Amino acid sequence: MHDSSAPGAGLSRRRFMSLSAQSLALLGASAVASQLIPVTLLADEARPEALPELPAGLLRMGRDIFPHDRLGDLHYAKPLAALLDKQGALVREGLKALQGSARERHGQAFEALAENDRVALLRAIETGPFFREVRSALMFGIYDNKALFPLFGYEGSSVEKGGYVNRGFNDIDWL
Amino acid sequence: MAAKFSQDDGDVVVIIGSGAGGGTLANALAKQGIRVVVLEAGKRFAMSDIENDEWAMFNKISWLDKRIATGSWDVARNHPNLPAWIVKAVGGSSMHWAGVALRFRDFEFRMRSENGDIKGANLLDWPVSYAEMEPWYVKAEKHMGVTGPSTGMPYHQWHNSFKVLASGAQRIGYKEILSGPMAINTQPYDERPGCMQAGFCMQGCRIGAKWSTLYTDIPRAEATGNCEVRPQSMALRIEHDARGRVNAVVYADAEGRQQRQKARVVCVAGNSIESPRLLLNSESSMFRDGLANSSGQVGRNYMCHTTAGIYAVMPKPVHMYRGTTVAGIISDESYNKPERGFVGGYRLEILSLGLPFMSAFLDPTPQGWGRTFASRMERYDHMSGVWLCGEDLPVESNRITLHASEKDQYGLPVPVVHKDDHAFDNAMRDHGVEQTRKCYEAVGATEVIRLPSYPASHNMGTNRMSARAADGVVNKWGQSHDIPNLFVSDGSQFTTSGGQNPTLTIVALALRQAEHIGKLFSQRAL
Repeated sequence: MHDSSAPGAGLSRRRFMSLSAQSLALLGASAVASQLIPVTLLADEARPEALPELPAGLLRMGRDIFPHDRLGDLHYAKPLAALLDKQGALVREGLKALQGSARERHGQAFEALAENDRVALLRAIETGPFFREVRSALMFGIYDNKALFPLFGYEGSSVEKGGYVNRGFNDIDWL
Repeated sequence: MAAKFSQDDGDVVVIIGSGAGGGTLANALAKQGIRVVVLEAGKRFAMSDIENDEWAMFNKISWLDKRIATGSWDVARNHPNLPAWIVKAVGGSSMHWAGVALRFRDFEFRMRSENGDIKGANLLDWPVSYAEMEPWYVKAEKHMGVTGPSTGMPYHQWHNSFKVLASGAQRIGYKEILSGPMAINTQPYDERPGCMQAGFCMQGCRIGAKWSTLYTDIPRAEATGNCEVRPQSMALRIEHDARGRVNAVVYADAEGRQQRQKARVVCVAGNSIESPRLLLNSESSMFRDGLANSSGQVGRNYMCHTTAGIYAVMPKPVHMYRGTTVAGIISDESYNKPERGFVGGYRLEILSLGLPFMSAFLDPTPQGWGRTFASRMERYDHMSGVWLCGEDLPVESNRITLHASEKDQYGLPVPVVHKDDHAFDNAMRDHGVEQTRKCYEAVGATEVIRLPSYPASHNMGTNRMSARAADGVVNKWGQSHDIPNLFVSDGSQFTTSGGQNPTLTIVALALRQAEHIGKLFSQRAL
């Protein structure tokens, strides 16, 4: 997993993304495997050089929408890159407007602002189509990502393991 | 061996829908030797198509044809095109239901007599009493395999999340705390295995421990040789003869071609949005307001239970996703005590969501993002949660109508689902949320989060039963007041919602209706 997911010299970033997505999907198909992914490996996988290219500010925006400090950038960047592929115009124009507001109000790029200033700018656009699409893409990209389930204490598919009848459905001991 | 009937065979009973109502009815009629064609809008899935994956199954089996929600209920704001969370597949919503198999209480059949006229509500007694329904409840419980006295099957062992809730409930003085009755086997029953506490009841039970018509009534009806099930057959309209008796159903097949099945009797069981929609779409020069609608009540009195989701963050891990999704019920508030500021009762039902659904329903409003949201998601494994299931008053203006211009893929007007909550609904919801909060805080919850309503899985009342033809659509047998060979066989016949999950009552009514139709057949009255 560690070696096979490292971007080879001849692989473009996009190609890597696609391979990485496949490997994660394969792991996802086997819940046993997904539970065995060590957290450190997930973090390691999110090395900056593996990130797809995103327009300035988009990754920052994504991290502000669902801020999980434990998650590497790659887990935000992948669904955002997929959204760009599908809805490029909407995302680029929305981001341009967001950057425009940032410069107008604070004289800086969105990603350079303090968190509370960024959040205020995002709150102002949260009902618009650009924000909603980004939020939705990340909701699926992060919380419906089987590889990330263990980080949230969720175990996913269980029937192939006999459910939980012998695996802790009633093991609570602190009541 | 499944039968195959000619479309020109005008001697068959055509049932529209194969869920708890239609699937049960099909089997109960076929076993009496009555020949049945079931038209099911959705596909037929195999057991092996069922996955422990919330979104995969949502996308596979949900009824996702366009609907429009309007009105002041929060569903119209948060899920404007998905008012109802129900199923389009053979087995219908008996694939998705969580297995809670509660009877109505005696008073719930006579809410009008108990409470008098309530302003803003279109309250009516059922034309059938609890005493009359009781033997049918027993039959339904045996039929479905419901834990408890009728089958002798023990209730489920308490899972972690219910242990948390139940401890809190005991500490605030609640007494009626049970992990059933559930139509989910706790031991092998009726050729189906016991529950393995897999935690994916609402995605379709992969092993069949939960009752669903998909793998019980439907194949058994076919095995009689008297039943043909046609999946991907969307009923478009019901036709009638010059005397005003229904005689055929026009439907779209898998390729979108129109087909026409002749019928001796038509039973409508497409759930409480599609059933009135079909009757309204079947208007003719004789029935200008739609079939069975001389009362004007078709589509009206839409009810979906007074609900809320409540999730508590506990001080230590709970792992609520381990175990039967809704096997935990607290019933102390399930009585008519108007001094609480509302009529009818509610139950507190444990309900777990997986991580993917929790992210979608924790806060579906535009504000559902940011540090607060993310930090709550990071405590997912510390959560325990409740779903409130309470009486929802019938209101005449809460109704299903046909959109004036927008059409779906079948060329039918898109249904509009309008609902404004009655003031009593809001009072009950607040009361239930507060009681749940007390339970969880009694066991140390660090935060109690109130969720808006989920899209409605309990849909009722839009073709209601009434003693008098002027007050409703069908009589106490589910038979149209206007058209004697037209029946309604799903939850849309409910006169009031009760504070009980509707499936057991739908099945009991379907078994009872089947016996009645059999009698009418033997008397040559149909």
